[in-house]
Amino acid sequence: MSNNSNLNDIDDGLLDRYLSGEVKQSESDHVERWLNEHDEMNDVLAQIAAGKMLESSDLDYKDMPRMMLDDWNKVKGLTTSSNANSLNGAQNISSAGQGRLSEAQNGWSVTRDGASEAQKTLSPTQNSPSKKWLSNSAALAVMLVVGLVAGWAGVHIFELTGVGLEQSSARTFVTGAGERATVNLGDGSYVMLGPGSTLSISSDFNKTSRAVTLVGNGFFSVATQSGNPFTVKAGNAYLKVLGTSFSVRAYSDEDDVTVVVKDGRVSVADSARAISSNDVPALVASENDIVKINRATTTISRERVDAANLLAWTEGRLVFKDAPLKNVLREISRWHDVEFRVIDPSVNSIPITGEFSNESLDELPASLGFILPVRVSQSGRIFTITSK
Amino acid sequence: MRNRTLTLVPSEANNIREAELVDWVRAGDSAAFEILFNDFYGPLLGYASSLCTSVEEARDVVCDVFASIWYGRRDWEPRGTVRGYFFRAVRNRCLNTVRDRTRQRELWHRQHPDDLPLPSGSEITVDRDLDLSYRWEAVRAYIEEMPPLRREAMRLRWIEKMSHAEVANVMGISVNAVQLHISLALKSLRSRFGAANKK
Repeated sequence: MSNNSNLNDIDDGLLDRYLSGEVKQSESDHVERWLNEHDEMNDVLAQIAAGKMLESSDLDYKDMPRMMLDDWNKVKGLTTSSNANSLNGAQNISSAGQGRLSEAQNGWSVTRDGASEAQKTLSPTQNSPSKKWLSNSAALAVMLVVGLVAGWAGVHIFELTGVGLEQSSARTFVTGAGERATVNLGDGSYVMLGPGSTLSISSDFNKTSRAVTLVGNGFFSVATQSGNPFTVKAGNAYLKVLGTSFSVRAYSDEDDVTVVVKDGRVSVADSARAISSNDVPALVASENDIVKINRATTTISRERVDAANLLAWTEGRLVFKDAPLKNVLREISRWHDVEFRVIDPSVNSIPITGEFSNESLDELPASLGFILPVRVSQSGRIFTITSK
Repeated sequence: MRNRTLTLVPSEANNIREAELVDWVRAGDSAAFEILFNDFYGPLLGYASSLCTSVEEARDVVCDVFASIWYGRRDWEPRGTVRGYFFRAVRNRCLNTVRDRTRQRELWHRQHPDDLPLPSGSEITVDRDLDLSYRWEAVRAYIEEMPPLRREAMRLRWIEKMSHAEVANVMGISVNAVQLHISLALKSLRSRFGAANKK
């Protein structure tokens, strides 16, 4: 019981700001104490915040990636009816059918694991979602779990080979959540795309220049071609290399664009002009360097790191070192096409160290509940995290 | 009275990025367009599905909004935030679609007197031992009986985490009206579910 009379008449304005994430820590604590005294309200608000009360009840978040893919193709279809206005490369990529990385015209050959089958291995077992919501911490703790390991099974691998880059339009490759793709660029270079990433290849690639644009996460292995440098544009970062391998991470919801060099040398700058002229010195990064460019301030910094850890994803592992839980969850949701809803934002900053590989996603709720003061409930592909 | 306050955005970085993306789209960059699609598809579909009568209709609306932006990309100059633009566009299109079918007229009656008491007859026994799915059905039914504009304000505010000004901008109502919707929503939720635990 509380001895604080304020608990009984918590202000609507404060509750509203709490639900919108606009509160300071002290206010947040205050609201949470009140919610602890009001279980019913706590549960109802958690359901609302998790998007389960205000959407159409027919909207199934499990279907979201599929609908998004279908609808992207549909938008491309709507815009290709007029040639002049068509989305660049849309015909090439969508004409062959379902997948965004499906077989297309003009010598692009694609082998892909059946997406639907891979999807199946990922799908958590379907129990009554609402029952799971109430699973209490005791029940979770009973399931003894060693370590914090999330599943890797089911990551899609798309292999693109035999690229014939004769078309006049730019090419775009897109991976959805839970997908990986390897794009062979036809010049001996290849790009391994992480989930939720977009790679655009210039229309004159390998003729007058080798220029690509990346959003998301990509590992580049670039073949040397004297006199024909390879350039990458990612967010506000511009890279120029000759022959080297490195990764670029430029997710739009992250503050920094980061470059990790595995071997060779990479020039990094914050403008196209700086990278193409020799007047302005660009920062040159080499093996085991990480370069960060802030999206807002364009500040560039360089540090020494163990590149192997940061590149572990190319081998099917995710390695975290003192990473805030928020970042860990964001990464897992990208790789496994699941969604985390953190009801209590204070757990976001808890540091996590661990490696995620080859274990079922089904065990994630228990693992998290075991090492953290949280309660995790699962409903389809949505995990809701509340503090214990 | 229409409120003219500029909408707030989560961070300056987002602002810069969005402006950059819009520039790229205007120049015909399909990758930038796809980034916008990937960023906004989920939230917009959730929002559209709360306004339309079916998920399929909501998907059509979202696709149409994106396709028409691509068509008119050369002159695309979203006022305020890109997010606000997308939500307004989806809202207008949903309402038009819904209005086209007269049976929905009542649902979208703009002069809905929102300060009327909630419809009675939604008596729910909230018993923690009841079958849970049944219980959530009942909570859902209770919320569904709230006025549509109130539910819309709740959704934009608490799920999309928009500021009051941004919600007002999207819904085309004043900031005061948004605050009233939110406060009435909280009042009815609290009167129904806000009883302190009995120890």
